[in-house]
Amino acid sequence: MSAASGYLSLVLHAHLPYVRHPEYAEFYEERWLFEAISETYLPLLALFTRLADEGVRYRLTLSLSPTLVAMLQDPLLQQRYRVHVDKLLDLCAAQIRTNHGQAQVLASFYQDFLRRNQALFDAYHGDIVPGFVRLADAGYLELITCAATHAYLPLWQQHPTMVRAQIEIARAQHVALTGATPRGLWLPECAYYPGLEKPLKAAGISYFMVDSHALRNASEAPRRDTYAPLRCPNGVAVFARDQTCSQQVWSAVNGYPGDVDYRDFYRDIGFDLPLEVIGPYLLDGHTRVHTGLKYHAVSGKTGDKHWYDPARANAKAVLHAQDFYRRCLVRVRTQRLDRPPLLCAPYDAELFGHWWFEGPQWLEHLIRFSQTAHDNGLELLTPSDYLARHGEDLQIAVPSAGSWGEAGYHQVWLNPANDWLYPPLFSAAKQLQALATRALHQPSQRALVAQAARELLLAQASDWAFILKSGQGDTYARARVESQLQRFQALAAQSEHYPPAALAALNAQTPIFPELDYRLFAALAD
Amino acid sequence: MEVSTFSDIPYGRLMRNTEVVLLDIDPEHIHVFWHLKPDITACILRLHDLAWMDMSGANPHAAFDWRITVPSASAYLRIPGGGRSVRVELGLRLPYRRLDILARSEAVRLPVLRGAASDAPVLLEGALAPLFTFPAAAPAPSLSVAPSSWGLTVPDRHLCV
Repeated sequence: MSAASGYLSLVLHAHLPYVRHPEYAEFYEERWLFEAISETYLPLLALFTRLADEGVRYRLTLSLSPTLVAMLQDPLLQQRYRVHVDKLLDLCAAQIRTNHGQAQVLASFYQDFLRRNQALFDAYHGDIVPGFVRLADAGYLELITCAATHAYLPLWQQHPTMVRAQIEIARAQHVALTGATPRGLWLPECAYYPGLEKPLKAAGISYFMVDSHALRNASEAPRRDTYAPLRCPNGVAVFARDQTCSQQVWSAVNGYPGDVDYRDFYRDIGFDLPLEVIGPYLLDGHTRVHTGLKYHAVSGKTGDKHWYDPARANAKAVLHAQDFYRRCLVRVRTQRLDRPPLLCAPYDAELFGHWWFEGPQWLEHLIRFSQTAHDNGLELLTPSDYLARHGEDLQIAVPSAGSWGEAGYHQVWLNPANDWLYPPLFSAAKQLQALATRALHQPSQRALVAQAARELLLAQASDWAFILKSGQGDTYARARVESQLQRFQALAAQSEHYPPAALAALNAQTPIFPELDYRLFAALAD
Repeated sequence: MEVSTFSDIPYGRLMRNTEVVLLDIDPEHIHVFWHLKPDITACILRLHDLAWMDMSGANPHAAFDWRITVPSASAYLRIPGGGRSVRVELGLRLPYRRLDILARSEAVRLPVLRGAASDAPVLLEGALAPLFTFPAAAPAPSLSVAPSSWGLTVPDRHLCV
């Protein structure tokens, strides 16, 4: 039996910011989670389970962000998801009744799709996280974590207690979920600064990922380019995102998702149908939103779209998976290294299914092609697998600062559209440290400090700065940061006499990280 | 669909003392924000280039000054070359270019920029009046394009809402 020609490490990062509004019967931004459950998380869980049941051996890394885990395990949001799906099934039924031809066929297609999702969701009693944990226990997935609320860590490096807390809280949640410390940690936005490896090491993390330029601009030029990880001087390994693998999937121009046969994300009956038809299925009866029922293929750059043909799209996903596999194989076979070259391919999980509807099918075919690895093919493995085989003699160097955002550094998360966030956030961080340090000797203050910490952590999510920069949904992003900070300030200002009932109400509204340790925010001993 | 409305937070009140914070953006750009005590209406923002010097800022290699007045509270600066270590101070001007220091930022090391030429810092955004540069041979700071014109979009995070 021949060995594999090279390795492919697929890493999916699943994350959404924490959005939960029990104070409203329905809330628009909660749909972000519901859409991702339907289009990404359930299809991926179904795919991974099906492959395992068929005896397909695969290895894939899945990062589940702590905020996403908290929402997926939240009974209120689970219940609201059920209502959301029921409403969509009603819409499908109405569409089947009133349409004919391809529109009717597609309405039936979505009805089947949603029913399969519903059945899987019910099989897990609404909490699908244990489904992924089970696949990890069975050796198919490697689960890793992320920063607690997806803070953009380089911008917090002058507040080491906050960086440490983001990492430690994530680690604690992962331990509670899986019984073990995560081997890897997904840096939010792949954003790194020299020195970040220290709190990672302290938390027991063995590896993280950066973008390729952060590795190539390391303190020493990487001898194996991005085809092998580096090791920081403190022992934590660093894997680099492979640019070509990213471009083939992400590129708006040349990427697979833009193929004419794939489903068009933007044409949705929520926008296409008259209000008198679609209105009953909208939150307020008149504000148009994506329903997830999309009848058209990408087709081309004009508004004249063809009907979506799922079978044709699936056939294209096979071809694209084949193309990706072959291109990767050619690349690793043309490298001359002292070990099989590694291609590390990290993606946002929500690309697969939500944005690129056929993404899970592409992934499935890619995994199936990798079964030929024993015949000089490409072997799927996780970063931990790689370190177990080749971790003894990695080159030692410190990566450069960087992120996977536009231009490669921190511009997306620090620019005139969002720089107003940082003065109040940093000020609150200092206040929190003082409160937590004082609470070491004031037991009565500890619950309040923990809640204040939750409020500040939620305000730190990189998503808010990103949305403010993009300008889409920025009203909500701004409101979220301001409301979390206002709550923080109210807690801090009245820390001695904050009404217990009001504190309990705040906690009930944001029941994330129930075991949060306020001591993490106290002044660092070192 | 409903989004609560929130009143503006009085950020200035959160920062009781004069403070200055420096954040690196990329190999050549930094963002500086500050808060002045109410009794101070104008002062000097001094950027120290700490290249090859110890990080205490006690013996800076070069310094560049801008006059700041209320209500300005932040600025973007371009520091050509990449890989430089910088720190900023706020202070009141004294004779012989000395400063009565009010606040000092952390020292920040910018990422290395491969193959870049060296140049003098440039103020990109902020209502600051350039005073002078040091060393004198360097080109004078000038207003340049604001970071908002960099055309920043983020293709990588597809789940933008």
